[in-house]
Amino acid sequence: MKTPFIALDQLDKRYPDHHAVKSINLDIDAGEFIAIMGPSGCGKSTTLRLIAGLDEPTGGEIRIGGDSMRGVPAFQRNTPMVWQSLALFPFLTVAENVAFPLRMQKVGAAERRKRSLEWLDRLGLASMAERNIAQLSGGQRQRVAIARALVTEPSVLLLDEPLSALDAHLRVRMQTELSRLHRELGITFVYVTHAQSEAFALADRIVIMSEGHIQQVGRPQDVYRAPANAFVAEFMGMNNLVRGEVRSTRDGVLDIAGALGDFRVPSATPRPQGSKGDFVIAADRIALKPEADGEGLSGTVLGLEFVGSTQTVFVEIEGGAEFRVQKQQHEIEALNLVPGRKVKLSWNPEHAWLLPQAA
Amino acid sequence: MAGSPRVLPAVLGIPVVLWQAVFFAAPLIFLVVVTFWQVKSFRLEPAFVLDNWTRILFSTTFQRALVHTFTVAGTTTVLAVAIAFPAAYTIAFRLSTRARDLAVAFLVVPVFSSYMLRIYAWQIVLSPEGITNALLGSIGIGPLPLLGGAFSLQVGLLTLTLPIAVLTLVFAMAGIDRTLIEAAENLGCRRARVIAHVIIPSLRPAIALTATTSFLLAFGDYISPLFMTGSKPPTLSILIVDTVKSGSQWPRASVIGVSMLVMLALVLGLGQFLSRGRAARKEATR
Repeated sequence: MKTPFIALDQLDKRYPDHHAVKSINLDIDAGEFIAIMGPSGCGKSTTLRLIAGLDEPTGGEIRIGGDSMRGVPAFQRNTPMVWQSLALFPFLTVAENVAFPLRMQKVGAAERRKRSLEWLDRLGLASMAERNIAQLSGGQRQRVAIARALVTEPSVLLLDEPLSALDAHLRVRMQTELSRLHRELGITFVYVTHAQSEAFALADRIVIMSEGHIQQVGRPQDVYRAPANAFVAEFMGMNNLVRGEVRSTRDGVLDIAGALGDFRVPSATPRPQGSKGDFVIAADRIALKPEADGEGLSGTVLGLEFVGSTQTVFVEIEGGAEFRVQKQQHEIEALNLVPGRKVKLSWNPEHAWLLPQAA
Repeated sequence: MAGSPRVLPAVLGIPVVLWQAVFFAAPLIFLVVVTFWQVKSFRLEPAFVLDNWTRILFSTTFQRALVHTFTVAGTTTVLAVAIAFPAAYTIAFRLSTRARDLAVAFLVVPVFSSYMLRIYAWQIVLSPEGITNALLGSIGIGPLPLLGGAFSLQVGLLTLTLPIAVLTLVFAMAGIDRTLIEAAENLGCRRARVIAHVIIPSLRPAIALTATTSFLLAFGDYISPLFMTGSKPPTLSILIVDTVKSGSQWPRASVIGVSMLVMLALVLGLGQFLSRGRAARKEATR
């Protein structure tokens, strides 16, 4: 079996007033781009700090490249981090900031200078080398922080919400930049964020955390299409959760009865009658039709919200639930979807995703 | 017009400007003017003579006192910063919040208590028949000449400067962004080197402020030179008093006073220059 590059083994962190990380296990492969997501206070930043050695775990172990990090202080780990606040040294110039880690490694002045300039050049900042940090724009500072973290050519880069201070336009550009760097360097990126769009755009695998637990680990499409539980389904935002109870199982399909009606949901394994049968249906999998046409759930359009090229339609279902449906602009216009309009919702039963039963 | 946003700040600033004009600029100008006046049969007369300046600047008494005062104030500055830095570091970074508040309170109290009283207390502690010599005598040492020399003078001047120096540095250290310290460690800086690579560079302005404040206080002080050394050798402040007392030589005393102000202005300028980081200085000279 291949040993993971970074292994979190029963990792636990308890602060005097707060249990931040609760015995999590996670294996990260060499060269992987992994994003840790979750609402604020879920333990994602603490996990990153534990990997960097800025906090001591209260239980469990971290192994990097097979070596236990127990008792290894932060300055010996070579796990550079890009901070949300950037944490650039205001008393050093741009080039001196980038050269700082090399100076700590006692690299000679000429070599330091050469290597830091190479990195500044690589990030398009060659002309800024002698500037003060205060003279740079937000995006330029961001690049300095990245150059400073990568100048020692580490095998892992930790990023703590690195783009959240930038405006939307710059954020997208920096995403492209990070993606390019990851591809070129082939090193492991561990990226903490609360922004789903960043995680989905960048990561090979996504880790979803809540209240100190890992809720799910998987490729972006898996986390989106096949959420492990109701928390992940709702955190993904574009999923509709339907609660129900199993009536019968036949040929890989469950009949489920819930407050909203009867549904058919595919399932690889049978489930006993009367057990929980909660499932999700993604917002982009739902068909909308005028009320007079055909089958499905009846609902009333509550409102619409632009998300890029598509719109999210909020529909109130008879029986009280609220559904989100994602539609292209032309479909919205064709159906004349305005608030108050009555519609029918239906979907291909194969697209419903049965939530696994809690272990 | 008076209500417009540009005029209002100017109006609010008037009291400060008035205060500065009446209590700072006017006396200062008068002090400079007096240096050119004459004293005839113990009476001050307006005139324009350079005699006061040449007499003072070329007198060996003045030159010796100047060198002495510079040496004393420089020594106090070095001692104050050297003692205050580790003390402030311990208070700001090593103590619990409660212990830190207590330590700050213990530093604030002496700043607001009588300096004179504290110097009298030192006299009791250091005098030949004082507490220290009594204790040393009981184990067969001494009596040591603790009072009346360079040692007791520094004790007195540090009594004046040290609490302020420690407080300045504690507050500056409390303002250091802790993320910078973590970032340094994250980038391979061991704990001991963090002081040299992050804390001291971050504190540059505060260290310069502490040094200039200590120098200013020690340079102009009259009480410690008078009571801790018996005014021998004289410092410039002692010399001013002596000059006035011996023949009402107000103009010559003013020359010493103006010279002291020029020195202090130079020291302040130097402090300002040093407080700017190397990166900022490089920028300014471009």
